[in-house]
Amino acid sequence: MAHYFGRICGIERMPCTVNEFNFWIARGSHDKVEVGYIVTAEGDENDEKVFGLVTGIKFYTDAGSVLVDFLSHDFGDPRSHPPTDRQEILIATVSVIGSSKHGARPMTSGKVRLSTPKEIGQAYGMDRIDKKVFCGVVANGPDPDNWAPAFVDEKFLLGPEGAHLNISGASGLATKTSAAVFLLSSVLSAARKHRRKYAVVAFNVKGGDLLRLQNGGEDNKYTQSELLELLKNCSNDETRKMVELANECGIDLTFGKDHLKMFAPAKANDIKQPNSLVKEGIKPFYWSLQDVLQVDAPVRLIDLFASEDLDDKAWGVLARIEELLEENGPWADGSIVTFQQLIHRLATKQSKGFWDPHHQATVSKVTRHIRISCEGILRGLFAYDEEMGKDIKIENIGANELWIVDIEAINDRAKRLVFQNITSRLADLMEKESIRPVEDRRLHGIVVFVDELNKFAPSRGGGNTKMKSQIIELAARGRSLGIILFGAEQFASKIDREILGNASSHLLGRTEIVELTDKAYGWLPKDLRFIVGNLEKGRLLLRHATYGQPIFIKFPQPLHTFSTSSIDNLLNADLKARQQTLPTDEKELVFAYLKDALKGTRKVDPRKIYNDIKDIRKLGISAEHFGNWYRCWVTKMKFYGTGSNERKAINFVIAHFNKPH
Amino acid sequence: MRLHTIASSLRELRKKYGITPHATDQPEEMIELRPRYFVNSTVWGVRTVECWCKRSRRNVKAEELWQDGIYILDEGDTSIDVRFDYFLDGTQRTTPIGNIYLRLNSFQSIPVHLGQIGVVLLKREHRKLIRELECQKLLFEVAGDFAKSVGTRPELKDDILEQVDRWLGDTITPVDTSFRIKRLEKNEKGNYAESELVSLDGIKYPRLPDDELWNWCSDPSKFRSQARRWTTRYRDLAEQDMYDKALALCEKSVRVGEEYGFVVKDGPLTHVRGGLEKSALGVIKSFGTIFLDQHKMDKVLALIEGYRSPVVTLRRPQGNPEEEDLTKMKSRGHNLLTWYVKIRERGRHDPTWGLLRLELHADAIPCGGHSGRWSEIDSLIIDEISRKILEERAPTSAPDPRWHNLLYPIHCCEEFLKARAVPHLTAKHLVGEY
Repeated sequence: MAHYFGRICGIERMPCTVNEFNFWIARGSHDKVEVGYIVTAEGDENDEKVFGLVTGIKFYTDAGSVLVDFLSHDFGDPRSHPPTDRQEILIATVSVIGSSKHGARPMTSGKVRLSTPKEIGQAYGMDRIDKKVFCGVVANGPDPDNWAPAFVDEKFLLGPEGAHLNISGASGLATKTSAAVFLLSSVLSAARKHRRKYAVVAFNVKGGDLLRLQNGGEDNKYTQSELLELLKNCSNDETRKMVELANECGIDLTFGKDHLKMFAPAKANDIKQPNSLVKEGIKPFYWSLQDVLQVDAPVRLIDLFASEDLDDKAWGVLARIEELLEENGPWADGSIVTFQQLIHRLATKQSKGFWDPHHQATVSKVTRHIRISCEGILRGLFAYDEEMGKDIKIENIGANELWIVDIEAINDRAKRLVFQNITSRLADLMEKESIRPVEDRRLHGIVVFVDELNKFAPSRGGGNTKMKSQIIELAARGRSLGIILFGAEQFASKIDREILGNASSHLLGRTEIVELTDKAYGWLPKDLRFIVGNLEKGRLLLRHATYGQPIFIKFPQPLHTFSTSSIDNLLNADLKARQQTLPTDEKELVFAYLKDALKGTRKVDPRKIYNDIKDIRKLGISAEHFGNWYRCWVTKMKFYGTGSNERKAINFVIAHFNKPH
Repeated sequence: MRLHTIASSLRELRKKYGITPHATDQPEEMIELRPRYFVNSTVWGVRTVECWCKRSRRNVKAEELWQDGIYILDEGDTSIDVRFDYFLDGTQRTTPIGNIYLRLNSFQSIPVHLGQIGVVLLKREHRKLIRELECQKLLFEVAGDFAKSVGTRPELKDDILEQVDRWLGDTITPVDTSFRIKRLEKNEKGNYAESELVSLDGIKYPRLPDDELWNWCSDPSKFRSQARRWTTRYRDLAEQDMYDKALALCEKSVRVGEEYGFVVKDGPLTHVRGGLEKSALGVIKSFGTIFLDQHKMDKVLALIEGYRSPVVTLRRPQGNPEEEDLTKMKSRGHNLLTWYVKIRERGRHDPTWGLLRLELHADAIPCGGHSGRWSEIDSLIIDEISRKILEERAPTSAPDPRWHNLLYPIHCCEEFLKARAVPHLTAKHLVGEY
């Protein structure tokens, strides 16, 4: 039976309107309602329901003034308890999300309760979405059984109606990257389900998070499947529920190696090695002089230099160099194919009359800049003495694939060049795809994830204007081409407005209150700002084009981010929970098996068992540690500790000794 | 039944009987000037019974105790447990909602009133108040029999109150105000035929003569106060009923001399009947009836915070102040004990500021109200009750203007009933617009 905890109340000073109503909270139910919860108001005389988001809660007593309450407490003694508690009341303010029947009139009276998962879907129009993309879990209330899956409309997330997603929030607290990773897996799963062909290109700009996507936990001690199985069966209701809901919605939270490719620019001193924090599974890439000389190259020779470094005369010299090197040009004799050769030629041939009307000094300056760039700043990304580059064949990206480009270790200019190169080529690729019939397309869309977007497209000044305009172009036109931008940054106010405005979905994690006063957060109801300013880790506010109000969501933690200690905690909690429910005789049964298995093998050295059983060694424990366990088992007939490894180890021992020798 | 159902039925009545709705913008006349009663102490058997002097720890003459008042904020006796578990209060409202013209060719009319009665019993558990029992009643008050008797308009021949009973009997009680509020005395029995009497709670009330009611037509305030008194009569009945139920709830919570779980009633116990009064405490915050002589009353008004007056006995008068002259009411039945407590410093206020009078059944204390048997334990019990009442001054009932001596739980009773009542403005509109 529904638990009603309040009733709508409209008074002259606080009337209910079409978009807002107030309700008082019943005595004893004060802890049942929080800001951010979704509630349902049911009419008394009809079956009309109105759904709303609690945006504020106020507390009143019947004390006419503060002084009255002060006096009532024995002239200001906070410890005093008058014989009767004052009449006190909590009033919640609710922003209307929608109603069961369409009508532009305020809710007049009715009882209020927590919305059920079905009603949440109804309120946000999720039940009417044709192609749903699971985007998290609506933790509506403390009971995970009442949690609902949150869906966004694929048409508005990936196009064609709307597109792009922006994630902002404080570093470390808003879990932006984790949210993005989860959404990327969700998008790919949804695409598979809807028979659409989507691929993802993600730029790793900080840390190694994106490079460990296939890992099971931070230390990769488990496989992702093992970890997922643990989460599905763990005793933590919240974690289990989120994984369950994701599973029900067909989301594959694991990242298989088959669909994951990682690239990084080559190292400056060893172009066979990737310039990345993680070495395993990452392919190095670099470009040569030939790659920047092609007419349709996404990155031309002149792009290698910052506009503020060169004046007009220098640009003229660069243009002249391109002319000299182009096909059928005076220098197109095959003698200049590397940057090293070019610099050499520039240094030796500059007096040979190629440069009119450019001054020698300008030529020298340009030569120096090319040397600084290719031999220094951009070395690794651009091979100094290699004839042919080793490119990322981004055009070959297939459906359902996730390609990660690690640009964390390279400098800002190189980062921009990589971004420019890849996005330009993706735009070309998708432009070609878009002219083909839908069913014949190799790809229907590509999601480009860029972390620290403010670095590439700041709201004002700074940054490479070409790069910024390219991202703006992507945000504006990408939707029609099928290139979807998933951007993340700390401060939405530091992002170009056009990019922000073009995003149909926004995820907001914990953000400083000062930042929230910016116009970029104008859509955020005032009362929710305080909540957003204090959001717990892993909880985000989602605004989507089709939602009437924003919604607070949680999402399953990506598998690669689980720390060893948190996995151990899960295992221990799980074990404790199981031990509490495990009948004593079942525990005793394990030792009965052990006793039986060890019959006739008295005084076996635990070190020998350790050396004999490979699976025990694979658990990552020392021989000494195992020895302690073993002695405890055979002498005290009980477990040494509570860890799951010990349970696995005893099973390996039983299995080993049960084998026919 | 919902208000709109009542309204629609009342509007039908209006059509049938030609009730002219009362002007809804007329200010409400709520101020009732009550005369001060000065009761001769011998009539009510007023006598000081307390004689234990705490200072000298011996029995003294009552007059000595009246000298300085009795200080109650000392340590007290912790073996006496006094709790206020229930709080009872009632409210009433009488709203004019229309007029009925008696004749086609004249303007004589009688008013129609809507009476409202509310009585509530709040229980206090873990410092929280919760509703234990509640009674709400609506009254349709009109001099129906008089209208039927003298009205010449044909529709008035059909009894309006019977009609109300038929249509709204389960929601509204029809009350004929053609009847006198004063009960039928023994010597009047032969003067009235059975049809000229109305019975309520076993008491018979005679019909007022038509001539007198004709006179009232030229002074409608008489009808108003008549309706108000009938509302009070019904309220007394409802309050009495609630009081009996409350006392039954508290029946086992009193062990005389040791443990007291009281029903705190707003107002005097004086007018209330009932057999278990020892678990009731009357808290009186108005001083309309004075029964102490002037010298003692001066002492009462001069009490300072934390002091109380000595206890006096008060024989409960039997009767209803709405019916008869209070000063002439005869005192019968059990003795009550009463005393005054000053719960707030007077400051520059009226002498009655923060002053309360408490009433308790004489059997509630070991001496049974006999001064000869009064001992220290009796004084300790009275002190403990007074001390607990003093504790009730917080939280305050502000912004109510009577907050200085209105106990907060009683204030909550009033607020609760106020919230449940049909507002005057709504009541006025029940029979529709003029």
